[in-house]
Amino acid sequence: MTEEQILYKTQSVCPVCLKKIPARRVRIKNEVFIRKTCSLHGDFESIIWRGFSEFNDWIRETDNIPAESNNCPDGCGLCDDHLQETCCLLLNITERCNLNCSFCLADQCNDKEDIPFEEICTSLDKIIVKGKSLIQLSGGEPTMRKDLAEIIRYAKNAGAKYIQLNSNGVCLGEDADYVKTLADAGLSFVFMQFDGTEDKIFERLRNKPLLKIKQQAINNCAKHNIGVTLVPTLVRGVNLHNIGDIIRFAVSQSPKVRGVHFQPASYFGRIPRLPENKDRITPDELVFEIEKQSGGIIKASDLTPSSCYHSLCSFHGDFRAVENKIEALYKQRKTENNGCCSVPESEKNREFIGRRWQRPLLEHKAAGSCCGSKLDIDSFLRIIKQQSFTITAKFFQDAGNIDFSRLRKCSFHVYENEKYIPFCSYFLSAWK
Amino acid sequence: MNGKKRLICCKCQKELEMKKVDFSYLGHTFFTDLPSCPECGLVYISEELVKGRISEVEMQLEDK
Amino acid sequence: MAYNNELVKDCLQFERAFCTAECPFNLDIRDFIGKMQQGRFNIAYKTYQQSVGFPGIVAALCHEPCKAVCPMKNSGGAISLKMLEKASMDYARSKVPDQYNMPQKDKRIAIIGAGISGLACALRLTTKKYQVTIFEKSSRIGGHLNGHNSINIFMDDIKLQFSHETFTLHLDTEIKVLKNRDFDATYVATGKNGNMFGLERNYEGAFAGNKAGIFLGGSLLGADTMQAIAEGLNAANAIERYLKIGAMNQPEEQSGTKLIYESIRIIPKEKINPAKGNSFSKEEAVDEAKRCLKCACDACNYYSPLMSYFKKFPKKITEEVEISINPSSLDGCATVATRLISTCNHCGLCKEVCPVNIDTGEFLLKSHRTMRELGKMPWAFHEFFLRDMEFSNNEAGLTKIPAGYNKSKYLFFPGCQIGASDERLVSESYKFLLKQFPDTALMLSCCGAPAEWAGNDPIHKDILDKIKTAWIEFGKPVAVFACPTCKQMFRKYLPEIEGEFIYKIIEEKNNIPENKFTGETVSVFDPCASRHENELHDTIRNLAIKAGFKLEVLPMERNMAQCCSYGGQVSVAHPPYAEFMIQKNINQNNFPYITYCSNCRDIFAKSGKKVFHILDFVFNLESENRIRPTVSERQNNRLKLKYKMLKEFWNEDTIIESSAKKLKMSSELKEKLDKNMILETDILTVIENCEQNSRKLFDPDKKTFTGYMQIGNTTYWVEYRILQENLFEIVNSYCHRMKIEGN
Repeated sequence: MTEEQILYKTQSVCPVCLKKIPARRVRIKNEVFIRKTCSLHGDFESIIWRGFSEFNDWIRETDNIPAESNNCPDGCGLCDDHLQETCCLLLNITERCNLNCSFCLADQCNDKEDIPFEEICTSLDKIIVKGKSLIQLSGGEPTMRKDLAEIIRYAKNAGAKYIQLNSNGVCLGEDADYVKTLADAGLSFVFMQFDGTEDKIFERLRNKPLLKIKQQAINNCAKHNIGVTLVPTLVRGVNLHNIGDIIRFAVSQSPKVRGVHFQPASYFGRIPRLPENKDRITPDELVFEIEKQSGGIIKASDLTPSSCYHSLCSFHGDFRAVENKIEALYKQRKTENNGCCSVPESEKNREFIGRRWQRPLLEHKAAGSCCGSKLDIDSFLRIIKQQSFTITAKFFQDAGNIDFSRLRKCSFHVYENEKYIPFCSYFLSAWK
Repeated sequence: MNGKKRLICCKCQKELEMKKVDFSYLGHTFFTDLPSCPECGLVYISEELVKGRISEVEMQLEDK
Repeated sequence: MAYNNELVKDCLQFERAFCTAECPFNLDIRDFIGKMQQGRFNIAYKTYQQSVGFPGIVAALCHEPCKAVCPMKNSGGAISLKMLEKASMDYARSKVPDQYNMPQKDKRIAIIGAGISGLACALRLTTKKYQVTIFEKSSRIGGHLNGHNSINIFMDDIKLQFSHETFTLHLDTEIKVLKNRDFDATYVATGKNGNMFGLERNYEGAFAGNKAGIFLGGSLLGADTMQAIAEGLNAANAIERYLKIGAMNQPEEQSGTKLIYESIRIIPKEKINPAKGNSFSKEEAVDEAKRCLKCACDACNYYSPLMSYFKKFPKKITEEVEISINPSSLDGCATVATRLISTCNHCGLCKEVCPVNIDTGEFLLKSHRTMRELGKMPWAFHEFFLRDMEFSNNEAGLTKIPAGYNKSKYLFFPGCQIGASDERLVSESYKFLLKQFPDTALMLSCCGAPAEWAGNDPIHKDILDKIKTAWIEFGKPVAVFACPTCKQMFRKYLPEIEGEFIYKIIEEKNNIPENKFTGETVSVFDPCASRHENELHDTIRNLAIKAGFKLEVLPMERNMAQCCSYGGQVSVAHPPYAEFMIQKNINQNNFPYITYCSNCRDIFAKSGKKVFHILDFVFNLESENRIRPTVSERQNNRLKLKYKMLKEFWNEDTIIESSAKKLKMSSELKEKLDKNMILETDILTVIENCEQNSRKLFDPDKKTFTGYMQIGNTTYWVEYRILQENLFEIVNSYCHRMKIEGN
């Protein structure tokens, strides 16, 4: 008889019919689950914490907000009950793709026609807050669009502060000139899908060996000073064991690679089969694996829940990667914001807050600079910024584990039809 | 940096042109392009630049 | 550096709490209480269970030696730890011990005696998957517990703790001779008056018998029940060590603790008594746990603003500084403490509150000096103040004795900042002194504090030499100070010069208008440099009372004085920290402050706090709305002071150049220059240079000239218009430290 301790009452959906139903977050010993019952389709349970560390130490007071909202999720766009402003905004610019992965959150499809350029520009005008916005261009595979550079240029001129490209990197690796056009148009950085350091991992998840082309993509982007963040989709039994190697690879590629952003597989979009509890990778487990597989160089205490999301949705760690070594940046004040988005460090608030100071970079050579020890000021600043390295993770919700209280704190939104929709409710799809 | 701002060197009565100028601080040397007099080399650094990139570099070096 | 390890060797940061030191199990009570305070009974129980082996038995039988040493015992009652332990048991969700999925080890251990000590040893060893065999001569386990009323409860506890483990038990088996053939180690716990098998304790290791592999413990050697259990648990560790490395030299448990805890931190609170019966309810347990102080030595972090802001203890600080000074000594995980070193106010509070007198501030000062010598300290933090000091000693410097005298009894040394703030403070003071002692000499000079704070020995030494020379020349007078920092500097570096405060003389001569302010309440703010000047503290208060004020005591006063933020010139190195300090100080209460250091006064006035210098009342100076002068005004004031003194007391006129250039600018720009520490004199120097050498640029649209010049290590830029021959309008000015090459 499992003794269940109810921690929190919330709302969710039935994974089969997507009807809104009450749910509860329960604790059994050190594990935490979300449990719910649909009158038509029965009981469902999803594990959200495995007890590798103490749940109560991770959850924050600010997370326990009332989940009740009549508008959630259908009244989205955003409704008045939403508790978080948009921090990062995603724009899908195509549904086409040049790969055919077994896991695809977007359930790409090559038959649909692309949204016309003008429509995209209209959207950009509406959503960009001058000098502030971070826009993610996504899809399908955005590089399928021949006018991607124009879109980027338009967004830049419209005042977007950062433009991020979510891509599988295939086109970026194949065509160095293409990368140049994107860079010249104002692309800020790339989040590139990267499942592991072995081709057999790619073959299982993406049906193709892709390691070489991804490396090429990293190199091409680096040539034009575009930072790349690697995004592994983690699947137990496929690449969970590869976490340490992925991080080591990323650090060795610094400053070409600016960090790793782990995304345990979530079960929406196109999925090979319905998930069981054993498939789920929980935040505590991921933190534990990172510490274990990095040999303790990255400590669990270096990774903390991001402040602009619910603590179960994302975690973040700031590091400096110098000469193939990685060291944690110390957070002095608890009030310092633990930002989720991987923005270049210089853009963060440049107050004189007490920070730890790093070793001199005297020995560091500028990327592509000339004349002995003299540095162009801009290159110097870029090098400093490029020493920053982040390890982050996002835990998307699917019909099995979606928790509306988490949704109401979401700051990562998709823009469509003049509505801002939290990412997980946008992609919410039924398990049939 | 300065857009269409015109500046004239009083000594040489020449208009300033962009030229590579060297800087140093705490043992490091840098360069960047600045408006300078083509004859005597007098330079101009705007407050914007001083409070921006120059200040950033100074802070980075002092923090070591 | 050898000295930093010396510095912190006595640090008590990691010392055990008093209770833990007395506890037979060395239970980490701070940790246990921390969890109970949060109501986390389950995890508190686990902590307890893991430390004591048999929580049910211990919670029933423990004689609470912790209570005798609990600091709360006279302030409401020692913490009822036993009841809290019971509460954790009552409310823990699950008391079943954790099960560890580990492979069995092939080592076999024999335990002679199934009393509670032997059982405890067996518990530890079996959870680590060793094979244990217990030999008990009677027909039951439990040893001397068997006479107890609660024996059934104890047996249940034993059964529960062994839920997942097994051992081989031979009851009714008396061992007469020890044969180690079948076993890799043995624990002999045959109880009071039990068989020792001719063995003795070998004190080279904990529990070690004088034969290899055999360990002794429990009531056999005189332990009481609680100790016996603890010994059984710890003997398991000694046995494991022996099995792993073959040595019997497990270190003995350290007893006692060096912890010192201030009684002033104790908050008296009556202990919680259960409303019903003998056990706490959940809320009562949490409340009782909250009474616990979790004693630890943290006075430095509690009182020192620097250490609490950075949340660092002395050990960490010395490590980080060591790495800054010797980067080669690190292994790649380095951080540099440049800014930490520059953020210390050198106020002395940390040493004052440290029970073992660790002087972290002095350490940081020395490190500052070393960093500067190694060329690693950015001079930008201090250059302005060093130049300002030079100005005080040269242009605005004055060393003179009244006409007709060669020697003097007193030398008035007001310090450089008080005159910069308000010249009347100095001139009135000197007038007063001359009235009492007409031979009093005057020295307008800086005492050298900025040089000390900047770690600049050569410049510092220079100033000290000059002062000493004047002192000897005037016949070794007694120095009269107005500034506590000056006196502190003299005491440290010129101890041969006797010194006194002008305030004492004022008090003796009763020179303060009496009862002028009857009924007004103020607080005396003691400058940090006055920390050990107990007499001075009293003097100032007496003067304030004489003037009619009612005094409201500040929490951090007298020897606990905090720096106003000026010390160390921290405002350059760490502006938010300086701001944090200022707010902390002015928000101690809502009453106006009276202080006796002009820097404290000016800094608080700038932040909007109503504050006076004691001399304002002594000399009846209207100073209600006196605001802090800008850096340029401060220099000007010192200059004006010098001329005034020369005229008033020596009848000497100073010729001021009529061709002196003048500047015109908006008040906003004046504020901006003050904030960025740009002096009007420097602006003038730049303009002169531009004009003389025609090194300037002309902007045809704005019709302004722009020029620059490097002064010291800073390059100043000025944008200006020429209004008349010697009149300039300043449009803008800014500066940077990067040097422009080749110009």
